[in-house]
Amino acid sequence: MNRHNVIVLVSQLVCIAVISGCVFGQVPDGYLYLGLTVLLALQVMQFVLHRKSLNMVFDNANITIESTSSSNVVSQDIEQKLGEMFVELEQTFSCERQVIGNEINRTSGLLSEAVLGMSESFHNMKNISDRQHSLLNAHVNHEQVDDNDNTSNKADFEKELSMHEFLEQSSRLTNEFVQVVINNSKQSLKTLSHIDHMVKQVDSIFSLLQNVEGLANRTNLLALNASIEAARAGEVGRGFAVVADEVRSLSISSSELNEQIRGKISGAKATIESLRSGVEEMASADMSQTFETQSKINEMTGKMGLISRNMEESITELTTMSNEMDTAVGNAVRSLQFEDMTSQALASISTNIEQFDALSQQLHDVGGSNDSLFVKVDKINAVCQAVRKHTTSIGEHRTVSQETMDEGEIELF
Amino acid sequence: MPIVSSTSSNSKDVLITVSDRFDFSQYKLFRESYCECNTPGTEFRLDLSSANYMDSSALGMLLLLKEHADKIKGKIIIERPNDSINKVLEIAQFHHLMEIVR
Repeated sequence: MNRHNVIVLVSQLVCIAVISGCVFGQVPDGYLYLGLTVLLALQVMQFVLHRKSLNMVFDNANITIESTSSSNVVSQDIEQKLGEMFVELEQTFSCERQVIGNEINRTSGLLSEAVLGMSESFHNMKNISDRQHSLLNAHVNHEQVDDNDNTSNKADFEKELSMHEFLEQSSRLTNEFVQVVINNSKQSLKTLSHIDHMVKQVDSIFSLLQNVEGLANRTNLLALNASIEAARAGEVGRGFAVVADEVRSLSISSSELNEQIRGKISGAKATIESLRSGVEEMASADMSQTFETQSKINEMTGKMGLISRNMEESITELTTMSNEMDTAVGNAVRSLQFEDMTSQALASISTNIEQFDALSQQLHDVGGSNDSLFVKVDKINAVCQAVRKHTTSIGEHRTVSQETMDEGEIELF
Repeated sequence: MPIVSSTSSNSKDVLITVSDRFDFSQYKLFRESYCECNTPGTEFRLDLSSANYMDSSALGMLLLLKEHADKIKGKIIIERPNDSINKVLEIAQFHHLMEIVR
């Protein structure tokens, strides 16, 4: 084997490696077609090289034949050498053909397997993406339902559950509470003025009682005077003295009663005093805690609005992303459908390789036959022409088929 | 004195100044500062610039003053409340009931 053949063989192996790389997804898909094309070109080159060497041999043979034409005897050595060469060529062809055929079959198998796996995982991705999409849609719709004034029970229920609503209710409740407390204070203060008024009245009762006390004292004094006058009148005033004594005891009773009334009213005043302190406690509630809560709720409502807005934005973005992912997955699935094209390309390579079989067979036949060298060469030439013609017709057929991946619509299989 | 009040000569303008704590202990003085003013259309100005605390009874007192002012077709202006007191007035929604000048 000469230097060219070695280069060609090495190049073929590189191409096969590139194709395998494509199939296993380590090299971009574009290289698959490039690899296949180069492989094909190399096959043709190898074939041409073989032909060239054949021609050289034939040329040499012709020269030999011409030089020895006078004797009209073809060298036995040349015949033998040519026969050996045909056998070598045939063996090389079949060996190469087998390797390439096996590699193509293996590539084809790996390709379909990989495509199947990828297709499945893309389908799963699509399903997941769809689920994500529907979830997001449900959420967005839910938000919209919240925004609208929906009268259905379900919407009402969800509305009640919403955090925003909860905070609003709390705020309203605190406001009402504040108003109640203030009104309570106001009413307590009003009550207090009534109490103060009552205390004034009670105090005036005290001064009245003092007057009554004064009257009793004066009555007592009068009774005392009367009893003195009665004593001076002697026997005649005895009866009057009894009356004066009675009046005195009445004044003393009146004084005692007065004292009792004073005691009772003092008790009432003490009660009013404790009532006053109770009302005072009622009126003066320290509201700083309530105010703090109220302002905190207001702050939270503001934050809640912000969070809600952010969430809405995120959901919108997620929806867009989900759509983009759908498109990406769709494109991937569509690209996978071109596995057919690759398989077709591989199959057509197999057809080309079969041409080598025909050539190989012819070489084998020619090598074994007893025909003259010219007949052998003619036969080989004829086979070569036939092979070329066949290959060209296949090539024409092939150009009709799809050549790019950009054509065609997404169609999930 | 926590509460000082002054009435203008035409008794149509009453200025009540509250200092330190505006709470229940001021009730009597506060009430006395306005209950004698029965001139129709009296303007009650309440200076809160030196007050630093206010509880619910103070709000109640303001409501009673409001009642009194309404009775004589008067007007209430609250002047210069500090931040915390202004917040209390805001949360109690007093700015709907009377004029608050900061």
